[in-house]
Amino acid sequence: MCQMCLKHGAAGKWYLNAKNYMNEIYEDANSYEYLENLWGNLERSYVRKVYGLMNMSGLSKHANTPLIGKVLKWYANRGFLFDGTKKKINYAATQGHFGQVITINEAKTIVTEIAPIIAKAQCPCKYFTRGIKEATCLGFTPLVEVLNKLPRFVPKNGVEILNPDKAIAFLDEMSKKGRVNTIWCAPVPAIAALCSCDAPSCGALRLREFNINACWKGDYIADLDKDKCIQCGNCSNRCQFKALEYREGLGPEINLHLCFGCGKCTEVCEQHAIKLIDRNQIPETRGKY
Amino acid sequence: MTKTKIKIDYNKCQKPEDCRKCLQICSPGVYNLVFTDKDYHNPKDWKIIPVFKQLCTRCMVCVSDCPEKAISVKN
Repeated sequence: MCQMCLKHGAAGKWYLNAKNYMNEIYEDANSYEYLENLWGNLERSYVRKVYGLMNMSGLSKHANTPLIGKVLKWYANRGFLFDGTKKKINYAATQGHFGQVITINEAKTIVTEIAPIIAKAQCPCKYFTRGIKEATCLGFTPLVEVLNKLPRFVPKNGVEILNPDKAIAFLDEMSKKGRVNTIWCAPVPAIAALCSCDAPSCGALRLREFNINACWKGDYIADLDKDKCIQCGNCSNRCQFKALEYREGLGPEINLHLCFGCGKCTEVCEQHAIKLIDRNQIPETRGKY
Repeated sequence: MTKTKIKIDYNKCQKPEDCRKCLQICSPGVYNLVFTDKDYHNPKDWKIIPVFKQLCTRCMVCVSDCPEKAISVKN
């Protein structure tokens, strides 16, 4: 069981704990003010994470130098798990903005059974990394309220409250495109958003390449049954993390160290040859999120 | 790691918010559209910065495709 589930999970997964979606938690953790500041400044905090302590251009080249790089990475990584109900949080350093990859079935459970109010918001990452305006984030209670103060994240047709059926249809549509579902705290443990990310354009998944772990890997890992595989090639273009390598004549091969457990490859497998198993079952990946 | 120097001439790159061509064309995603001033709610005032210089593959697509010829890449 991961650190977050131990603290905020109530004997289960932290993102399936209904307590983390309650109004009292949002007020305790000061989510409304936090989100307004964080989303308003997201571009700048993101670039700061890359550049280092302050916006000193050129500091990023030290990310791989022995001692300085270690200190920079420690500083960048340390704040993500800060508890908003107990500590004062520095939003400019994106402290408390923690996320994790989840599967589509978990996302659907959250949308139908747990989350109280859902609305679409424009993805900030896709805009500042690729210049694409697309509404792919599902925001919960605090984000829906804060959206009115942040006009640049309001989608084209305005803020629209989604009912569970519409939200599920939206998740299915995103899943067809191969988007990875991630759940986000603002701040820990209050949960504010469920995103459908694209690996190179998502800010947090991009920072994983530099060992800055704002977004943890999922609780699962993909497991391939070679006897069932008929080498149809459906899964060959589904992996965004370069973990699944497909070779003609040999079939797919999964790299355990790179797998995020998002389950995109399992959704297209008609033979059910790829299955998701618990990450902690395998000694090699135990506790490595 | 080889050093890559990417420079953008901001005198030529006047309306990054309308164009955004380099953001979409760069396959490793080196460029970001980021604000530098205090007035951050208006994307019209933002700038394009080469953030991930380490990831540049020097394919030179951005240099040839920039409509204003504002980008220069040197090894």
